[in-house]
Amino acid sequence: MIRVVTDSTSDIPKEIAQGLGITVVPCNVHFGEEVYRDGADLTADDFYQRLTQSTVFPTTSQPSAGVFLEAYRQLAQETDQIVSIHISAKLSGTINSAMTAVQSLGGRCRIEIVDSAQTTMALGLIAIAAAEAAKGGQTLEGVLKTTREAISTTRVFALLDTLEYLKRGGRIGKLQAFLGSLLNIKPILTVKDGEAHPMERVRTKAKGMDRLFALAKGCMPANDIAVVYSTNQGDAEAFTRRLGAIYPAARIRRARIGPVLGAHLGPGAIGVVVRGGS
Amino acid sequence: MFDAGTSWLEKNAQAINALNVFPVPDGDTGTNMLLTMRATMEEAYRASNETASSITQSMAYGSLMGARGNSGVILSQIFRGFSKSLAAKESLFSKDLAQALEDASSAAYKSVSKPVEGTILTVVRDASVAAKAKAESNTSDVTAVLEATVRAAKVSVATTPSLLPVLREAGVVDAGGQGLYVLLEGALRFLKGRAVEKGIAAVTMRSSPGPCGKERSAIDVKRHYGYCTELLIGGKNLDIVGIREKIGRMGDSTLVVGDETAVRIHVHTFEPGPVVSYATSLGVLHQVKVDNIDDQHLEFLQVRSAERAVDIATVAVVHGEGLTQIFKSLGVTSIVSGGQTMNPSAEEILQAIEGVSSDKVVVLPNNKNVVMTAQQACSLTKKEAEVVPTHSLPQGIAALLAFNAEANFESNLETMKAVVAPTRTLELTRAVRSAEMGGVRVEGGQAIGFIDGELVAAGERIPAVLYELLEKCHLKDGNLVTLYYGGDTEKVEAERVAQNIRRDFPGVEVELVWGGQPHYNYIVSVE
Repeated sequence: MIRVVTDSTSDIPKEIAQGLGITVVPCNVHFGEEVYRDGADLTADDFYQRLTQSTVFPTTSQPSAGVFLEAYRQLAQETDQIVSIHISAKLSGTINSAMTAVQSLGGRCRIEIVDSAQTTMALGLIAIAAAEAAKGGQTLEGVLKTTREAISTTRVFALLDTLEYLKRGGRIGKLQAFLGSLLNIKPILTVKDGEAHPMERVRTKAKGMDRLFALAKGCMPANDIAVVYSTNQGDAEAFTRRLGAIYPAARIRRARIGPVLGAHLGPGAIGVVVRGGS
Repeated sequence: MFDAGTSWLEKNAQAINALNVFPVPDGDTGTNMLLTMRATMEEAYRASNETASSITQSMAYGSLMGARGNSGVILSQIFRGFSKSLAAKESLFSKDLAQALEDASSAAYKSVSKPVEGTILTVVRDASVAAKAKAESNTSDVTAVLEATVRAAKVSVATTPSLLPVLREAGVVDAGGQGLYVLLEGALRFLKGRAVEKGIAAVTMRSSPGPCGKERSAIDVKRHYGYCTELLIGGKNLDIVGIREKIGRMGDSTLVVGDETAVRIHVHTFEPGPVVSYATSLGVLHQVKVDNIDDQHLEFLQVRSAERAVDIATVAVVHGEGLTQIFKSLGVTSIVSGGQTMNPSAEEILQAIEGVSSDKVVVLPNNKNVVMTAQQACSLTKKEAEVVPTHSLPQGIAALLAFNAEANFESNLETMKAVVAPTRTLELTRAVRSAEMGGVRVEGGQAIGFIDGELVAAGERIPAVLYELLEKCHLKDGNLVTLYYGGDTEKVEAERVAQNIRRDFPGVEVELVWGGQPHYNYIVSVE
């Protein structure tokens, strides 16, 4: 069977990854000199507590080529075809590590590396779609086709409670337009062409949730939906119920934004991912 | 004749301003109508020839561009109907005048989506009916027709309180209607040969039985260019009437507005020096700007090319230095200065629309009395321009925040319009006179508070009235209260007020920002 590999910025819940046989390669979180592997050495709760309380601001880094090499080697014992789907190359160097690993691996296992141009559960839903196709017995071409389709139909919208963490992390890019406001604002972002794009600004959480809802509603029809959050589980649950009313037939998954993205998005972030389709 | 009307209007503008329904320093109907008429007359002198048709068409164009405030917009529609009626006329006979007034009246009615009786509309209709009756009663005397018109207008103005409850409650007649009556009366005084001051009486016209309009060649039009001089005087006990008189003698296209603490001056003069020295003697100067009028066009083109190209631009009408900075920080493309006490003209808004590099423009009027002017400006441009009818600065901020540079024009308009209504606006100022409105009794000088334009509370102290308003808003957890302080509010007081709200309404977020808006101690948004 074809196996699917992704990275920890996909925020795929452990049980889903296990169920579909998806291998998740961890990115790293650094607090000063301490290095933690995302999802392996550091739980989300511990991370967000440190994020808001520690005076040391965390930084993040891509997995090393060695970590990928190890993961591919292990899988190569069970399969000779791997589809490795990752966070947008414009957001992280993760995909470079994966490519370096493939070059030094050699052997008879075929590894296809795909840039999802996404992250968080947008990447997650793409990897899930690929893994489901693989589980369904599709060929490598079939799985790649499903992956490409999922990439073109998946959209993500996120509401941040504050711009503070993006600013501190320096990953501003096109979000520059939202800085310098003399009022406190909560930005709504999307990922477009592999990059974080500013969409709208609101001043209250309630209004932001209404806008997220309207944006998600605009993506109808949906195949698969995910609600992601950093610290506010209650908001995520309420939002899931709200989406359930307009997408009664769709699966709505809930996932926690992991430490790597969480370091940039900050506490109080909430997002919705919709994978569309026919 | 209309020039004389304008001068008469000028003499009476302050009295008309005093007819505000709301006892607040705003809606200067007299000033708005006067400025609209000035623009109208400036254009009239530029008419290509002296036929009635050509002159009234120029006037219609001038009033369209110069329209300020709702009364100005309606006035411009009156001129539009008037000029259309005379489109093929060389001269103006009594029957033409009556017909033109009737057409003017129906054009005015058509320009308003929901015509309200007891306003300028009623006055123009009653006047035109009287004109028609007189013209049909076998008289060819233009003066007699106009006399009947003015008489009917006067009676009509007097009936406005009986038609419109807000007027009755406030104990005033309709300001726009009064303005129109004054304008017509001035014209009549001129026909009868009575002076209306301001010396432009060089116009001579035969009142009857022959045609008017033919004789306009007698006019010596003085048109000053030179330097456009603008400045803002900050001070105490400024005598606006005195300043207006003095500045009026220093140049033309003069505009002097403001109150005891701040006066804005705009004048075209060959010698800006004396204007500046005079202003310095009165108080502290801000925003001093002297531009060579001929250079302005060139400069305008340069600024335009330096501006960053955007697909969809936003133009906002904003008052107050702090609020201007806030709008800029939120990425507004262009700002038209004005609002509550100084309604911008359609032309000013049009210039802003034309001045941005984008072909698609969203306009945020941010004041109820600017919405129609903004719509007029949008109808005058070839660009795709639309108004999101924001009635207050907080609504404008909400709309601007919802603007998404990556979305298309239609979806932006939809999103921006949707966020306007849920934003509540509270405004606090001091009453400029005593009044009773919506069951609230107000003494002149008292603190008064409005929620979404409705007077709901009055009292001695501004913070206490603000509290009353907040209580009426039934704040819920998660609400955001933003206080923009301005007027003569001290920062210390504003900070204390914000702290008290945080203490008394836990669960509500409070943000305090300096708005710098004139007159209004606080503009507050509740979201």
